[in-house]
Amino acid sequence: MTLNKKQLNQARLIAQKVFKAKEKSRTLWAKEPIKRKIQELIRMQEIAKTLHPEYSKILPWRIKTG
Amino acid sequence: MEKTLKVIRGIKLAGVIKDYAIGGGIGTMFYTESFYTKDLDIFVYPKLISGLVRLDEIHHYLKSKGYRWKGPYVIIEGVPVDFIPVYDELTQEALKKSVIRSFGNIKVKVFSPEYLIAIAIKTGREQDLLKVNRIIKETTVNRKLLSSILKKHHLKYDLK
Repeated sequence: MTLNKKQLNQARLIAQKVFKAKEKSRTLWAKEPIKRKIQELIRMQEIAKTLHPEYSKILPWRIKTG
Repeated sequence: MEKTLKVIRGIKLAGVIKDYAIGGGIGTMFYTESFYTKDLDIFVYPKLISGLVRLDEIHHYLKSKGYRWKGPYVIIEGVPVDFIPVYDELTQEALKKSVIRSFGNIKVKVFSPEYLIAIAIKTGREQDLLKVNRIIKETTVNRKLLSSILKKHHLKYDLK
């Protein structure tokens, strides 16, 4: 299971498109209001805490009530 | 997130991709403290169509399951997911040597910390180098293996 040089070049072009879109998305996201960014942060942390049972004890969830 | 990973596993079981592993920010978080990341990066070894690398089949499969695209990513069970084909020798090797980790009740393949570091060094953006420091500080890294990966892929980094 190995891609040859030509196939890797194709894959690189596809990956570059994804990375470019991600970068653009980051720039747009940076312009969002802070309230929305914090809501998103909490949402992503909710996802992250499912990675390990111990996470829920140490994540900075206090931001919710802060 | 577990539901998301089950859907992704389904893509492989359906034969749409040959293999996959989690990389990027979420991949890093398997070894570090949690930090903000917007999407789940899935590195895939795509099924070749007439010898060509195409991700269309993933798109068609997910569309048929009712998942929608939002800009560069597809939202699977509430989680934005990016599908990235392995695009060089390093990512290809990282996928081959990825490790099995538990995510709740399911097993997932994740890039090993050594490969996550090497990919971040190769990508070289500031945010990637921050990941390198996090991984080195917060998990046990096989430095001998890391050095050999860096040497093999002609990468230089001062491992403190």
